Amino acid sequence: MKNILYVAETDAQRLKKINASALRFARELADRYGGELIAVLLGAQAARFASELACFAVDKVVTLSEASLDAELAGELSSACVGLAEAYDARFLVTPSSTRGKDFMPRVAAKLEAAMLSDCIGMADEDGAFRRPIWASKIVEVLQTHSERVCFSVRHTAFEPLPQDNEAAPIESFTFSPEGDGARFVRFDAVQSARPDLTDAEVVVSGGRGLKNEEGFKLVETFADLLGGAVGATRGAVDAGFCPNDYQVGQTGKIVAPQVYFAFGISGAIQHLAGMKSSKLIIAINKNGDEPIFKVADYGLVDDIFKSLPVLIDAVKAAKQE
Amino acid sequence: MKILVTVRQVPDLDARVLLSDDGSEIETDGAEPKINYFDEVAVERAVRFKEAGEADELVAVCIGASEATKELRAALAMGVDRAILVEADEAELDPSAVSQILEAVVRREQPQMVLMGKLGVDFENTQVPQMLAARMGWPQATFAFSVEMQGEDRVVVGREVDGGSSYLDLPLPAIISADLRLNEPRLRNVLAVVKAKNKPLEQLEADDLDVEPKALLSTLRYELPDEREAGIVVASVEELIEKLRTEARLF
Ligand SMILES: Cc1cc2nc3c(=O)[nH]c(=O)nc-3n(C[C@H](O)[C@H](O)[C@H](O)COP(=O)(O)OP(=O)(O)OC[C@H]3O[C@@H](n4cnc5c(N)ncnc54)[C@H](O)[C@@H]3O)c2cc1C
Ligand SMILES: Nc1ncnc2c1ncn2[C@@H]1O[C@H](COP(=O)(O)O)[C@@H](O)[C@H]1O
Repeated sequence: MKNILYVAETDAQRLKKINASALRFARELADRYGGELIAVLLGAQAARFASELACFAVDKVVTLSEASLDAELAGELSSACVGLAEAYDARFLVTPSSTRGKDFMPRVAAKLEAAMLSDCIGMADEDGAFRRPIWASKIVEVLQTHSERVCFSVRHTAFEPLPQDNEAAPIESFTFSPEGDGARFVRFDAVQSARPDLTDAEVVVSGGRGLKNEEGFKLVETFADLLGGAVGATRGAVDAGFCPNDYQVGQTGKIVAPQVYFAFGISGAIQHLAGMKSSKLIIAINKNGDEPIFKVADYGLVDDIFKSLPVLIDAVKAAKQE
Repeated sequence: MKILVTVRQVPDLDARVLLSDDGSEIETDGAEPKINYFDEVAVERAVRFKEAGEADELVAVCIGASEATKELRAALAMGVDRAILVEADEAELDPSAVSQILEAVVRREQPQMVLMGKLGVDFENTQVPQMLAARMGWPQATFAFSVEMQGEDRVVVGREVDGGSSYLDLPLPAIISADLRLNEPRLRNVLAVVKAKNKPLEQLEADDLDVEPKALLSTLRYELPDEREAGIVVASVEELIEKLRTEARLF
């Protein structure tokens, strides 16, 4: 067992951006432990994104064009990964820690008798040891693996994206019929949005319960749209019905690390901080200066959001007209 | 239908944490441990199945220290019928070992559905339900925000996934892990807590189940991540706009 198998993530339109960061970790594994880095695309459209994936620093791209994988059922996905791991002599299996990766990769690990590291943020000095955040990212755990194969889901915010400027690696196709476990796909209700994806956006504007209601939350959306950013939210705002739950940032929502993160009317509960505190620049507005959000904010403003946010919005509009 | 629900005891995340000098242990400021919130949500779903006449027996299981009987009693107080504690030192287990013990419990109890939490809020592994499903060869639905029976032997699960909601139709037996919005767990009233004291709680060891759990991971140490440098509090929205324009060059 020697190679590194990277399982890429796509949606109907594209190779997701998080791959570039998760691939950085896979590349580091190959550089340290040897073996080829083999990037895999699964699903009917697999071949469509192959040439794009081949330009990262990978040694090979393998496509498994099987329509039964499009529903992203854990049974079929894990069966395919086990087939690939055996055919390509994989020692390490890596995928982003999206909901898809977190759903299928532990199932692969159990089938391969492999140790599984969720949300891995890097290697440790010791051979076969790795790092991951725990306790809502208050602590880092360093773990030793005791298995021949190791599976990972990678926290993409911990890695700089790998450049996509390499000479294209060879592409080959693999034939395999994945077996399911009886689960049937019914339907997928997509959250429709013209905004960038929360996990890829350069700017994220998030609102909390301080926005009072759906109407108030619109201010957050307006500001995000002016900056071309994504909209995020706290569990408080989601549960109060201000926005869809897909917007939730935090321990049990999305983990983001944009260039700029705005936290409006957000208290800064540990579960929320876990999802955004790796952002490069954090700006918080809250009327209560004692809230924990100010402990992570680079710029904090103690003020009523309904007074200050409209002023900010006007300032951006004015700047755009200049 | 018989439902097995899994329950874990977890520390209070809001407590201040310290690491021992050699980084081998996490110390909390004497805060009360509690039931893992996602497991509480799973228990609530199971109890509602029973109230609706769709389940007839609910069994809760925990693998952990004897102190965790407190969390099993909490599940009994919510409406679970009986509980099993498989005594073990969690520090010596990993998700793989836990899933091996749970497999033995599932083979003994033969439930039609296993309801679990999507993750433990302390270690956030998000692995045990999926590993258990793989071991049993059963279908899985993780991150459930809705779980509804479809006739006698199928269940439709709505899942919170990136970009929207995904719906799966699973044949039973199946493994389901609960997300935050599946329900609001009920409060446990005094009477229910008293009654729960008389419900059966069996204490076992892995040996009694004929399993020798093998952990594939062990903790070398804990570390504290780098703290963010303290920022500044600006005096006015005008000053903030100035900073955003000149320093962050945002607009
Ligand atoms: C198991 C579990 C998992 C969780 N996972 C997550 C998660 O993934 N993400 C998450 O976000 N939360 C999560 N939570 C919830 C978390 O603990 C907090 O309850 C939540 O983040 C609070 O949201 P909030 O900041 O919007 O609301 P609040 O804490 O109520 O804060 C509202 C803030 O708005 C301010 N405010 C009010 N009015 C104004 C005004 N006019 N102008 C300016 N400021 C104002 C207040 O001062 C306050 O600070 C989780 C909780 C549990 C138990
Ligand atoms: N020691 C344990 N005893 C019982 N259930 C557990 C145990 N560990 C994990 N689980 C279950 O698996 C879910 C996911 O846990 P984890 O994979 O550890 O994040 C939890 O919410 C529990 O329902």
